[in-house]
Amino acid sequence: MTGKRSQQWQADLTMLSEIRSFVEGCAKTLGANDHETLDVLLAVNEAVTNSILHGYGGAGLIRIEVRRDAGQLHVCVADDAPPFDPTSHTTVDVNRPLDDCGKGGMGIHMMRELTDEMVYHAPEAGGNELTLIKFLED
Amino acid sequence: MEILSSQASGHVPVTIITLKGALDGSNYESLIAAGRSAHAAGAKAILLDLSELTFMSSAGLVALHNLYAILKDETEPDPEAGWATLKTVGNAGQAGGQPFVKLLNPQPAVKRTLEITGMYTFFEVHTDRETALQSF
Repeated sequence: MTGKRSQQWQADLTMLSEIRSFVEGCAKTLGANDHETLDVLLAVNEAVTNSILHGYGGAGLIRIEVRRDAGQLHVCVADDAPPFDPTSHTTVDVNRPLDDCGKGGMGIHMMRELTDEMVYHAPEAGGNELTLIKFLED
Repeated sequence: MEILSSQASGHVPVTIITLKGALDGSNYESLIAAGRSAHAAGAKAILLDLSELTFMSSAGLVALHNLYAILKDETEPDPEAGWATLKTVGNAGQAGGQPFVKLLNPQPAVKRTLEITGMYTFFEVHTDRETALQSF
């Protein structure tokens, strides 16, 4: 099943539950199993949280687009916050004590662990587009 | 998320904090506040009943760590400080056996967060309430 669904929300932490519900519904409709859906939900939650807390730090909009591309689920989290590329962020080694990735570091670590690819794009008009990609089982 | 507190006795008095719903960046401070209240009322041990917690983000991990620090009478870590705040639990090299905060019955979604962040081993996890209470 293919198709593209998108929606936008105010950049507010109280929207997280609604955002997760939207992504969960899309992921399941697009063929993700329970395990894949959970991983995507956790990753999207961290991406949105980082955008709200560390990107905007105030009012703004979060746009989410979910689509299936062959055997992959793509979730794009877009905002108009100052550019920040999480894919260039230092990798955390959770087995080493006191690794400090600073603000948002935990979320980025989780996104990396929970997805198969993360693709970052800085649109010319500004803002950020982070696509979280999960390979789906047949 | 709904937070319920109750008292029980094992070898020592234990405060049971039951979480229902989803724990994320919008509400993790409520859990920290519940921990502060319990501590102010004399709690020395907290069993977090996660049987009905359906989701936990990294913000939830921050809350767990704050509960640990509160009961250990440490300075509460800055929730915004990121990864380092959590790693202090692991750095203590004792958290798996620490007597302050233990977890009861985490569901798969919550377990996933604990596991991929390396935090699962830092909290003693139980699946039986009585066993958990007696472990304090």
